[in-house]
Amino acid sequence: MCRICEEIKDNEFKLYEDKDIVVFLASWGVNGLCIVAPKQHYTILEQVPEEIFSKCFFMANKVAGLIFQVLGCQGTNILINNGDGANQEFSHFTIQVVPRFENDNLKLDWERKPADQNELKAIRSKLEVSNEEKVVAEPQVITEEPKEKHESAESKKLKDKDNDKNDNPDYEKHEKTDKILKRLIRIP
Amino acid sequence: MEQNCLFCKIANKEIPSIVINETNSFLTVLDINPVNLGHSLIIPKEHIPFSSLIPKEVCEEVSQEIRRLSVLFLKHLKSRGCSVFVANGSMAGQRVPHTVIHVIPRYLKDGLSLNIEPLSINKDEIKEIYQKFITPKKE
Repeated sequence: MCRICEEIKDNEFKLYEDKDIVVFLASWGVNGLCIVAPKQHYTILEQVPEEIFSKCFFMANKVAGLIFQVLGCQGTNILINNGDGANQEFSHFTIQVVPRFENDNLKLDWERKPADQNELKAIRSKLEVSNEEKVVAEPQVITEEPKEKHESAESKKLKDKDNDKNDNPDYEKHEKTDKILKRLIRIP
Repeated sequence: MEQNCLFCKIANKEIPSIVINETNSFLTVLDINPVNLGHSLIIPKEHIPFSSLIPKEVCEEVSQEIRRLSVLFLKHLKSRGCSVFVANGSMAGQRVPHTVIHVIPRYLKDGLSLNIEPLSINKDEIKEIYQKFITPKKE
């Protein structure tokens, strides 16, 4: 079974769940890392139905606000690695919401090098909206399923399934977040 | 529109950029300092400092745009996927207090790493963090 599907089934630290999507605290990576995922197993973004992806993305942004408030972090990143070129971590589409702290040693950045203007203009013609008014998802180019990088033994522990449901916080309760977020202007 | 905000100026076309899509709520431009060619920035027109404040309707449009770009990268740029990156707060790499969504075409061994080492975390620590989430906040 896919690691994310396992987590969806058994994770005890779910922050939100509805019929389509789930948000849970990851048991890997960094403390407070939140995973937003469609419940159904889709490997890549292009396979995730429009409404479900939109729901995930909206939720990821809300979670990014929530963890500011709850964990008192100094920043958040929202991250999607889609496809093997992006070193996608699991064979299940996810959005990661990462709390950031000073000296957290995460290198989620890149060198900024100016590109050649002519090259950019050549690219524009390929990505302009007039070029592809209506885009139909292409058959996937990812030939190999990304390798599961995590040992799944740990997540196979037995679980009190009935316990879970009542403990899940209702995300609606956090809808106040919006108001709180408005006070969170932390950038000078 | 915020005075002196770089992305407000780009979104309002006061500063020229290479535009690849525009709707009422956002502008998509090519990043002039791209990780890989095709690296795009989706810039909401409204001055929104953090991504958590993006209104739902705008979020929906942005989601569609992310998907549109991802498919075009596969199709026309022969990408092997894409990365989507949003930074909230300068500690996370946000340079301008106007939220933007990076959509980056990705290739095998392109030298970029936006991955988090998947080392396991002590379960007690997660439990502790979980408690913070489920404990009601005092207003």
